[in-house]
This record gives sequence, C-alpha cells and structure tokens, in this order.
Amino acid sequence: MNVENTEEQKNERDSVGGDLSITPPENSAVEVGAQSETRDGENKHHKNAEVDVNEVVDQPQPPMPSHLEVSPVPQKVIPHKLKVLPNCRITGIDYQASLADVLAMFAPHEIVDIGLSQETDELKLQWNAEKYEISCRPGQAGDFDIELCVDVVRHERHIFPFKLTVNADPKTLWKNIPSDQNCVYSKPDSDKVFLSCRDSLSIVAASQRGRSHAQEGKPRDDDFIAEYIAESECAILIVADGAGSAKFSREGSRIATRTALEHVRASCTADFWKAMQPAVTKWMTEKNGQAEMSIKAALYKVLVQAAWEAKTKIKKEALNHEARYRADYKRAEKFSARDYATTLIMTVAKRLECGGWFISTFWVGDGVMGIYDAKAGQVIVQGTPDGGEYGGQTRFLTEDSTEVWPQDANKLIERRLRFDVVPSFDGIVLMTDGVSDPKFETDNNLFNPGKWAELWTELAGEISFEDRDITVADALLKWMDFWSPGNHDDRTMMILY
Amino acid sequence: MRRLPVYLLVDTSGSMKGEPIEAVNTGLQMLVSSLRRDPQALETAYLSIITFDREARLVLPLTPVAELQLPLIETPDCGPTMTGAALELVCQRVDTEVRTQSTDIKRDWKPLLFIMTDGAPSDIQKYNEMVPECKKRKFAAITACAAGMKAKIDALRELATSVVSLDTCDSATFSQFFQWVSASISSGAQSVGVSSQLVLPPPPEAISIV
Repeated sequence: MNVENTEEQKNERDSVGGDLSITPPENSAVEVGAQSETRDGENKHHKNAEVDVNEVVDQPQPPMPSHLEVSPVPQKVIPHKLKVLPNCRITGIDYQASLADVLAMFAPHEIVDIGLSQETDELKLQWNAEKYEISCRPGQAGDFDIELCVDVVRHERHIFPFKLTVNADPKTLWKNIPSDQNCVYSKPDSDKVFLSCRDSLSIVAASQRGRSHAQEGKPRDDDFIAEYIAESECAILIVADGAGSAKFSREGSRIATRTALEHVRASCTADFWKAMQPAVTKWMTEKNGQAEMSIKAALYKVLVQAAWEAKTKIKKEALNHEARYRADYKRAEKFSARDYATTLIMTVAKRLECGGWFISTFWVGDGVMGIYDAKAGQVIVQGTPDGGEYGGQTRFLTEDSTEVWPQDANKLIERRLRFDVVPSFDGIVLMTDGVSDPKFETDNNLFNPGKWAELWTELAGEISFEDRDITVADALLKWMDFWSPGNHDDRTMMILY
Repeated sequence: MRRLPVYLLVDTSGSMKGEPIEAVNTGLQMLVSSLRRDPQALETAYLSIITFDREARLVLPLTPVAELQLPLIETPDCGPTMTGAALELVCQRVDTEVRTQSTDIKRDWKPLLFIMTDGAPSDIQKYNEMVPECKKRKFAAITACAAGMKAKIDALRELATSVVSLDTCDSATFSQFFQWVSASISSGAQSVGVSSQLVLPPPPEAISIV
C-alpha cells in the first residue's frame, strides 16, 4: 500500500516536471537555488531522450557544478578562461553585470540552455535571459566563484568561470572600541555642553571621537570650552583639534582651550570693554583706520596673548611630562611641544550697548569659524584656514615657525586676528575639520554662503534649537555621527545662537 | 573625498621568474583582501601597480580598493632591471593624478611608495637621476624591499625612507611582507599632520629593517 502510494506520487511529480521543462527558462528571471536545481536537472533529463548515447566522451572532465553532476547528457565540455566580473561595491546593494560579451560568441538560435552555478548560498544569483545579465543582492562580503554553463545545439557544454568580489559595507567594518580611561591624559570619547546665556541666547557644543580613532580604541584629540560672562555680556568660544599623528595632542588641545579661556576671561573685564568702546564707536561710524589699529592692539593683548600663553603652557607640560616619565620609568624619553600639536580657534562675541555684536577671532590651523545670517544669506568667516600642499597638512599653535608666530606683531595681526561688528546673527559657528571637511569639502567652499545655508538647514532639520536646554547638545552630538565616506576624524562643533 | 594614493613598484625581471613572482601575485591578492577588510583603506586607499623589467609598465592605474581587480603579474625569461625607468614612470603618474595645492578641490593625502626588487638597477644613471625627483614628490613614505640575497641595498638606501630586506623569496616571507604593507597603508590613511614622515608599524619577523 505504502509503496504504491509513493510510486504514484513520484509519477505525478515527474509529469509536473515534464510540464515545467517545456516552459523555456528565458521567460522569467530564474532564481538559482534549490528550486531551479530540479528544473535544470529535469531539463537535462528531457534532452537526454533525444541524444545519441554513444557520444559520451570518456575523458577527464572539469568538476561540474553540483546540480548538473547527475546529468548524463552526452556532451563535449569546453572550459573557458576565468573572467573577473566588476566588483560589487558593498554588501546589501543590488548588483548587476552583463555577460552579453561572453555569450556573443554564440548565435542566439544556437543556445539550448543557460545555467548558472555557485558554490555557496550566500549569493543568490538571478539570471535575466533576455538581457544576458546576472544580478544579485549579496548579503556577505567575499570572493565568489560562479560558473556559467551554456549548452549549444551541437551538443557542447561551454563552461565559463567567473570571479565576483563583494566588498563589505564599510559601515559594518568600523569598530567602536572605547579608549582607555586610565591612560595618561585620558579623555572621554565624547563630550557636550549647553549654556543658557540669557533670553534667546545660548551656547551649544558637542565633540565626538572619530571613527578612525574608535576603530583602534584611541582617544579623542579634539577639545572645546565655552563661557558666557553675564556682567559684560560677552561669550568666549574655543575649539581645538589635536593633531592625529602627535601622541599627546589630546592633552595639547585640552591645555590650549583651558589656558586660552582663563586668559581671555581675565582680560575681558567690564573695564576692558569700556575702554574699547570709543574706538569701536569711531570705527563703526567712520571706518577709521586708526580706530581699527587701536582695537586690534587691544585685542592682541587678549586673544594673541591667550594663544601664546597656551603655547607656553604646552611647552612646559612637555618638560614636566619628561620629568615624570623619568621618575616613573627610570629612563629618559624626550617629549616636546610637537607631541602636543594642536590647532586653536577662539572667538569672543560681545553684545554692544547699541544692540549689535562685536565679534573677534584668532585662528591657527584648519577647521572653520563663521558668523551666519540666514535671512541675509550671508556669512562672515573671520580668518582663513592653514592648509598645506596635501590633505591633512596644516599649521599648529604649538609650532615655533614664523608662519604661525611672525616676528612682526603687525604681520601676525594681519594674518590671524579679525574683528567685525554685526547688527545680529543666527549663529556663530566654530568647528574642527572633522566637520568642516565633509560639509564644505574645499577651502573655497568655506566662504560660500550657499554651503553654510545647506549646513544650517541640515542642522535645523535635526536639532530643535529653540528647546534651549541640554537636549539640544544631545541632538547635536547625535547629528555629529553623520556618515561621510573617508571622513572619520574627530568632530567638534560649537554654536552661539 | 580625500584619497590615499599608494604606488607599488614590482621588479619583474627574469630572476623573479617562477616561485618569486608567484609569491608576489599571491601576496598582492592577500594585500588587497586585507585592505578590503579595513574600513579606512576601503574608503580612502587607491592602488597603482607599476612593474619593471626591460621596461617599466603601468599594469594597474590608480584604482580605489573597492573597485580594484588585480592583473596577473608576469615576468619575461631574462633581461635587465630598469628600476630608473620605473621611478620615472611613477613620478609622471604622481604629477598627473595626485591632487594637491588647490582651494577648489579636495587635496589628496600624501602618497605612499613601495618598491620591491631582487637585484640592482641596470639603468643606474637614470636611477640616480630619478632618486632626487622621487624625493621632490613628497611621498609620505618610500619603503624599499630588498628581496633575497642578491638585492642591492645600497642603491635602495639612497631612495627610500626605510629599507627592509627579505632573506628568501618564498611565499611565506612575501605574505608577511604584503601584510606589513597593508598595515602601513592603513596607518597611512590615519597619519595626519605633524610628522612629515610616516611612522611605519613594526615589521613582522621575517622582515628586517636595514
């Protein structure tokens, strides 16, 4: 009973198979897998009936794809040279490649059947018989061997081996290894701050370790600090980018920002602004050159002096560290300011009694600072970044070079110290090159109001600035994790708004 | 995007025929697959291969790692080693394709140069002319690999920022070398700024810095 039943079912299945084999596979994109395996097998079976069995060639044959192995088709197997398909860029995206040039050696009416084989289940290939295209959506990276078998009317089976390389999605390759919080000069991998200055005036800042550092468990090299002095209605904004290749640059950027802040805070007293007011008024009404000089001379004592003190303090720290190292490890090691290399952008924004803003910046290195006015679609960039011949080259606060510290104070003022008076602004924005590189791409774009508008729109879309509380800093930090291929430096951004 | 251009100069003179060149081909495959697994290299590194025997040939133009397909590197039966011609070609390529000094385009990272040879330059005059030219191109690092006992280290020292030597030209040694090259490229993709020279990761056992 049982046996009979099985026999019946088998017959039934065979007849279904027979029907299937009449349907030409070209009619649809055939998925190669378990399903098509039976279909292919039966195809061969069907053909077998018409072929002279004597033609079987009794000679060593190249290994056959598993699903074809069972076929007793008497064919001459003709292997072809390995070809390489264009790489699949990343996993998880659609891939398509035409094999038309390979099949061009056959006239369409010669081709009896086309089959694809593969060795793994990780790559489900589709074959488009009309366009002679293979397509797939690989789920795993790797090198895959594919064979295309073409049966032609003269009882030949042509086997074309192909290699397909699938790259991993870089996003899946990045690791996030926490940095050692017990190492010398340890630093949290991210940081953020929100300061409420007064009604409708806040400072928000966030700093995120770059993926290239996260990949190796290295610490964040960027740093920032901000303060609002209510008494004189003056905001101090500072960001610093420690050089990726300097071993203690994380401490360099920390010392630079802290030291600079201390000096600027101590200098920007109510008396200081009072003393400067006449020159500012004169400059605003007459654009007087002499007034400009006296403003810059006053600012020199605040900002340039702050930067110089930061540099000096870093140099001192290098020596201190050398002494500590000698005491701890009982052997000498040289450390210098170079090991603490950092950039520095610092901005002082002071609300004037007339209602406008007096804004001044001192800037060494890359990154960017801008005063953005959305309504007017304008941006004032208070300086120019230091760039080199190649990417990633810049100047550092810690250098002794005359490029950064010219002998002549006037030259230094001209190159690195700026001030402007604006009636209002939407945001004063400071950022390290981890943000400015992906968002502005080129140095010229840093001065392009269109690019600033794009950035501002993007930020406004992601961050509810008007909430004016710590959630704004959270949102900024979250936004800063944006994806941009090849741009994985530390990112720091600060906005006064 | 900022590219990290990497130039590999491979000696394909007759003496490399057989196991050495097979080891080079295997080594290059390994190099490329390990770069593909490194996200930084996968996104930024661009590779170019120049071979040199009786002439210098660009066998792989500067190609992003993700799109790269290695050509099979072959050697003639015999003939001279035109190392100088290879240096000349790499300088030409750098001049035309590495993007520098512009405010309108994104500047590339400083390029890396690796040169591997098992002999001495046959075109010594050209070689000597090209050494200072290569230095002018400001590679972040020029690493020379003297493969086997017959490789002339002195000539390489003139050119390279670091010279390593491989005692044997077998596939195990080559594979270690190419792994090290891969690690150097990865760290090159991250090294920024201060030091004008790239600090190479420590080499594996079979490779000695000379």
